[in-house]
Amino acid sequence: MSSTASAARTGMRGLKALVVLAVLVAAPCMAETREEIEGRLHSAPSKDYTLLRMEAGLAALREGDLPAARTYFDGVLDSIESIYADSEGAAKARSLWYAEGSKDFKGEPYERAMAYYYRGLIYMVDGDYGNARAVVRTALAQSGFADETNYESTFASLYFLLGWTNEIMGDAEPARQAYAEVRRLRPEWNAQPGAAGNPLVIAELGGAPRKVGDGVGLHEIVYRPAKRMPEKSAQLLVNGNPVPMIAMDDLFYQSSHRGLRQIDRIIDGKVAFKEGFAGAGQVLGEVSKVATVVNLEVSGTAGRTIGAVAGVGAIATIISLNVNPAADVRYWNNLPESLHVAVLKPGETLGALTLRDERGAVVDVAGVARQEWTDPQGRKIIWIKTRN
Amino acid sequence: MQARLLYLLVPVSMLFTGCASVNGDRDNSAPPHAVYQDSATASKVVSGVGIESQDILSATDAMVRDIMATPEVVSRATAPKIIMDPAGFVNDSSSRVNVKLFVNRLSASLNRAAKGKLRFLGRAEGDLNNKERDLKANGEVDAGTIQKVKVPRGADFILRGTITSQDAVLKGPQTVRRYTNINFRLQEVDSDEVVWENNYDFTKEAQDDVIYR
Repeated sequence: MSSTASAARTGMRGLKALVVLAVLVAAPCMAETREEIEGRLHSAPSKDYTLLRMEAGLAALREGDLPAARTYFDGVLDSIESIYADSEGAAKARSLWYAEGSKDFKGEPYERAMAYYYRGLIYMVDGDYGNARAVVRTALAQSGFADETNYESTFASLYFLLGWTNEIMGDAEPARQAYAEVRRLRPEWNAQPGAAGNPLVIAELGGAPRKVGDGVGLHEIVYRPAKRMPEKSAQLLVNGNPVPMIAMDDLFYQSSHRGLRQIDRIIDGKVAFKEGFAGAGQVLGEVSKVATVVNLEVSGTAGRTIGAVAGVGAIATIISLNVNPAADVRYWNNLPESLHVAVLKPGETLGALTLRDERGAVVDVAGVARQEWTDPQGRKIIWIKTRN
Repeated sequence: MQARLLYLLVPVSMLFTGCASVNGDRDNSAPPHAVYQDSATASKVVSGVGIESQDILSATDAMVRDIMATPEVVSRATAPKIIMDPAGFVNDSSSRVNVKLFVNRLSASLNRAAKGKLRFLGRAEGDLNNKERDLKANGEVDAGTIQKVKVPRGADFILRGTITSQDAVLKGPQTVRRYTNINFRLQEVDSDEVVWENNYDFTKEAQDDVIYR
């Protein structure tokens, strides 16, 4: 009887473990809450401040806390724009013994561009379209950084916002050029100039692209899309009619198609150094082993030399073990996967948002945030974010 | 001999293994006190290609000197009334700028230097003034000590400004070169005539550390 009960208990424990495992596997990779991010911000090393401010700023924006979001993103932009001279973190990141993650985080070009994009949205809500245009311009410059010198930014949302802010500032020709760029990148975008000032709807779907370390000593950054976040398209109900939002940007694409960075060459050098010393250590170790056997055959007269060879081999191995070529895989983890835009006509009533997966099936996402702001001149901006 | 080799190996190993773990990433030292810096000179530690304090100071100082040396503005029989308002300044550059910094500094410096040769109207503070005027008109407060005027004074000139920039970016090495032009002009309200105009220009070039490229 007792053995049957014991078996039942064991079975229950196994079942519970399976349920926990199933929940963990099925759950999407949730970003932290604002409270958790701000908690980490208070105790994090200074090299992570910019990353945590990016995350805290976006979490605050999701809650509609504009003053906090403004402060966080101003700090982020100050950090991105600063050229640090003789930074200790930079020196560490270049050295053989420290990982790239020792440096102060500024983000990869797509992350920097998104920081400017969010600050631009806040400037728009504040009615400061001059500064909104300024940060959108800088966002485009940041998103255009790549090792390929002829690389051009393909960030359609930023070109759209450049057209939008130019139009509101009364600069018709630059607005027309920016909108033309949007139509080149997204031919399905058919909005005409003249609509700036109408209610603008921006929806951000899914989760952030992830950076994963790969290769020898995790020296290579590999990008992966967010896990288990199926929403790929959005449809608005406007005056009772379904209106599809235009998919402007895919951040996974923006993150992963730029090719190598200049720092990757330094990291490759670290890998070569590490492998060279590891190889030398292994060879000298093998040589000393063989020499020990030979030494026995020649009456042990070569003992000192063999000891020295083994010692040098050990030092080479220790050096190799301490070289740290790991790439920086810290990433802004509450960014969305995709950006979608719609421009309404004045007076149109906005209803529910329908999310669909890549096959067009309706997806139900809990906790979608929707903020509606009106700038001091009465222009409406509706911002939707599906994930925290 | 092998024992001596061991004495050599142990400290050398400690040296290399120690390199990777000293103090982690955390700086446990007490933070330094905030230190006053000279606003008129560039920081030796942090800098960028945007508009910084030394640019605002230099630009506004140069404009004050030039306006004070322009007889058409400062040598009129009756001191002209001028409006300086952030709404008259347009940021058309790639730099984030708080245009109030230009307006406030220029206004204060000109007001001090003009010693009554120019008069400034504070339209930005209109809400508070209107409220006080209403209180006076309703008899809720007395008339104050200054002679009453029927309506607020009108302006003769508006000081306008435009900040524009042109960026050149070398994408691979991520070198950014930004030319910034700050244009100031004094425009007569009735005739639209620009009676004074001047530029302040500068170019900055910067390249971030290779670890950010």
